[in-house]
Amino acid sequence: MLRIKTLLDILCFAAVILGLAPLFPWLDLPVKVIVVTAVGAGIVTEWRQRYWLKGWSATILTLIFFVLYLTQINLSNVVAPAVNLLALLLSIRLLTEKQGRHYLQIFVLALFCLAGSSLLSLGILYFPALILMVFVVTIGLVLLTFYHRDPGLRLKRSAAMTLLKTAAILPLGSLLLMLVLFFVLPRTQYPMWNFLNAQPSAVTGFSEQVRPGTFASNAATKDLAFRAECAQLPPKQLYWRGTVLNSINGASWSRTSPTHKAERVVGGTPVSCTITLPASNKRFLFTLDYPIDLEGIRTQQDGDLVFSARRPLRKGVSYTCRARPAGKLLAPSAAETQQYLKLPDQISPRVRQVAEQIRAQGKSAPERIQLLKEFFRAQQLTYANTDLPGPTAPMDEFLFDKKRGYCEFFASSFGVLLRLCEIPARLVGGYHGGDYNNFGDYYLITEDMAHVWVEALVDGRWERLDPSTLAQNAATGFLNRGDTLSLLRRTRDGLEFLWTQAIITYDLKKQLSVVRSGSKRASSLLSSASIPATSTLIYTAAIVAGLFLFGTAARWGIRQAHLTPQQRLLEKYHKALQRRYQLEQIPATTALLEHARELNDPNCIIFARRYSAILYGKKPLTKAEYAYLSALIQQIQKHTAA
Amino acid sequence: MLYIVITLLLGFGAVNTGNNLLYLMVSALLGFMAVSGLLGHSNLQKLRITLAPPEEIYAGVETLMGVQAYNGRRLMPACLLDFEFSTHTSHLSMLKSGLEHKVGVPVMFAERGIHTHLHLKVSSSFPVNFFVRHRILHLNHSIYVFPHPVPCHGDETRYPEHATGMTETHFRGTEGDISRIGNYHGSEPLKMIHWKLTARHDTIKIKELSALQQPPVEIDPLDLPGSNLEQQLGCAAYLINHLLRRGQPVGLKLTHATIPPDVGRGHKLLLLTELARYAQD
Repeated sequence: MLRIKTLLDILCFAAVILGLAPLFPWLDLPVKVIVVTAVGAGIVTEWRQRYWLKGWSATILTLIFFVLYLTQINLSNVVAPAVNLLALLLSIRLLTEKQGRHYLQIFVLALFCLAGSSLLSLGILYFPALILMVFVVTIGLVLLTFYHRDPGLRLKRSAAMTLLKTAAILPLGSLLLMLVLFFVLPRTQYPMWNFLNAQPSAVTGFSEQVRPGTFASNAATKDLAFRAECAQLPPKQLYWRGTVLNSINGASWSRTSPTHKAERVVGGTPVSCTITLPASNKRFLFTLDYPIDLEGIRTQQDGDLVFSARRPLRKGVSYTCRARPAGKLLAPSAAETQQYLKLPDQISPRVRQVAEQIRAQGKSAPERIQLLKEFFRAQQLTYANTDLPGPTAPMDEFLFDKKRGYCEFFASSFGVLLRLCEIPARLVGGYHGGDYNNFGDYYLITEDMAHVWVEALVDGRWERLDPSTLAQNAATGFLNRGDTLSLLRRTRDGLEFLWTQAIITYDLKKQLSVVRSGSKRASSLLSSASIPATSTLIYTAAIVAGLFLFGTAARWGIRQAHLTPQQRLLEKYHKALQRRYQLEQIPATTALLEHARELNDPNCIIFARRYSAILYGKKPLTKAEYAYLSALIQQIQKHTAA
Repeated sequence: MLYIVITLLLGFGAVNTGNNLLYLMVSALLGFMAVSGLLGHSNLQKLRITLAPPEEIYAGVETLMGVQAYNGRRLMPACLLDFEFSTHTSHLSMLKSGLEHKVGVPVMFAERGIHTHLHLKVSSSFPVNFFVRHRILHLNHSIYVFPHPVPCHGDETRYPEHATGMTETHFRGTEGDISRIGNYHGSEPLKMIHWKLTARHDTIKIKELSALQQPPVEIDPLDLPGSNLEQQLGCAAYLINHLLRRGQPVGLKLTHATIPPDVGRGHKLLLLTELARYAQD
């Protein structure tokens, strides 16, 4: 025999753990200690039936915690005190004796804790926690209903299993409906309480400026930068354009918005690529180099093919970019080249000397570029992230002394030397490479793939030059940066991608797009059936409704055709009685008069008498009599309406 | 109510924060609301309820009405069923699919007679205790409610037959005279062994005694004490029970028929049924 209370206790603690676990990393340290103690002590006290807190002490503690945390709440700090308070209230409830309503309180608080965690993190772990929570709470509520009925109830093992199986219908059905309702529930374009949501972290390998020599080392992280859903491309084409740095000041490259006309991309095969960016609080929109256009987001486009969002990205976005990775980037016919030839104030004599030599040896831009590449190779530079040149003369130190650095050193030095060689040049910031995930057919771009390369204006077109490939260890140090993701990591990332695509970035725009695509599909279906598709949704609804009505009417007609007038009257009479007296199906064999007397309804008694007279042949069923009896039935029904 | 408030609160939060994780939770809660409604509705469907009334029901006397419930569903059990008959309720925690179970509901009928068109309210708070659903079942069953027994004192003196004492019957008994000698079969009381005869025979012989019986009584309800007919019928019901319990044959003299005196349970029910129907047609 199994006690209902035992099962209920197990589910109760399961709900508590599921509610608190996702929230735990964000709780204050003292609260963490209290929560862990309360869960452990709660299990022991429940087992021993000796409780740590009595009613009054629990109330006093609750009040103290309320005061403590409610005073911390302000507009910029709402969620953290609220979730701490929720965790504490739950802890208090675990240490007191539990009756029916207390179990309900625990389930509610656990549910709120899980909801609170969604305001702090958008991680995929929320989903399994929610699924388990739905199972635990719904089955718990069913058991609570039994407990409420009889707190000492014990069920045989087989009966308990039957009950649990039946109760399992609830979470299964709820979760199925959840999937449908999630996509149809109304959404607003601009949520008013966005400040309550998880704030995006600002850790990124991509930077708006290039300042070689600022850091002695560069730590690469495997944090997600973005995901790009497209067909697999040759590795050499995997350049993700973020920004163009066209101005140099000292050793620092930055961006000034270009005023010239938009550059054009020609040649190569167009590739469509859907990019999903996590929230970053910045406006950069990354594209596959060279981009043609962007869809699915309101953007601002500069002449040098840099796209940016109109507002900082406070939440994840998804957009589609068309690009020609093997194309050519043509500068406008009357391109202003002066800004791409500006030089920093301080350039070391050794660097100037190299440039002078190249200028003297190479007459044309391609020749000079070739000479410059040979110089880089001759220097035997190493791609490295540690033991980097210092901030005083980073370029000089990089090229001639330490001879080691990461992409910023390579690109910055190459760019300056190009300008010294009178070749217009600029730096492009973005990412290079990508880990292709066959699970979701997308590239995973992580922060350690942040990269800077150079574009040089040669014969009216911007040519991409990546000086990092000139490092003597380019094959191992740069082109194979980082470890390849393990199968487990790929699978996990694939799931996270699916989670982000399907859940996190689902908004009003996507909702409308789903409706539109559904409408288009219905339209194509209707047009293939040669029905005019002016308003496909209405047509579909009308056809379904028409079929339903036709079916119902046909069924009703067939049934009525088989009934005699007496049977029809009796059926109507029974239906009227059912409505008025909320009766179940009345058997046809029921004695009418006795039943009418039992109900004590004069109209029913009259009907029963007259109908019995007709039924037993004492009186014929004339049209007038039929009408009279129908009127009586209507009177019975009117009474119901009143 | 609490559940609806929570769902609304989280729904309000989801819409205003645009947080899809909250939307997921609200969707699950709404889904749960719908599924629990369906489950609650189906819990009361396909239940075949029949009455199994006790043989004797007296007006104004509480008795247990048997309610036979059959779960006609193929898979799902019926849970937390409450059967309400007039004002009394009885509970059944679980009825597995395809099984039948009988519960007793305390009932009390105020008046004697034939009670038809009985209604039974079946309710359940399953699956969750937020709403209680109910069905009112129309039971196609007739119940005879016998008159409320009213003790009548001095009945032995009122009927001359009582004064004459007991008479012997041809049935076997333990109280009358020796009617014949028989063989011992192993089940008879030892006091009935006829030791003298046993000594003369190879087998054990016993004395077979005749049973004693009260003289038959014929009751005319209208001759019984009572300020009105119901009291007289109540007195008659009491006497029928009392006399038949003593083994005295009882008959009934009614205005339209006479039932000769007899004993036995079937006869008792016949007499009481006649009393229940008396002056009701």
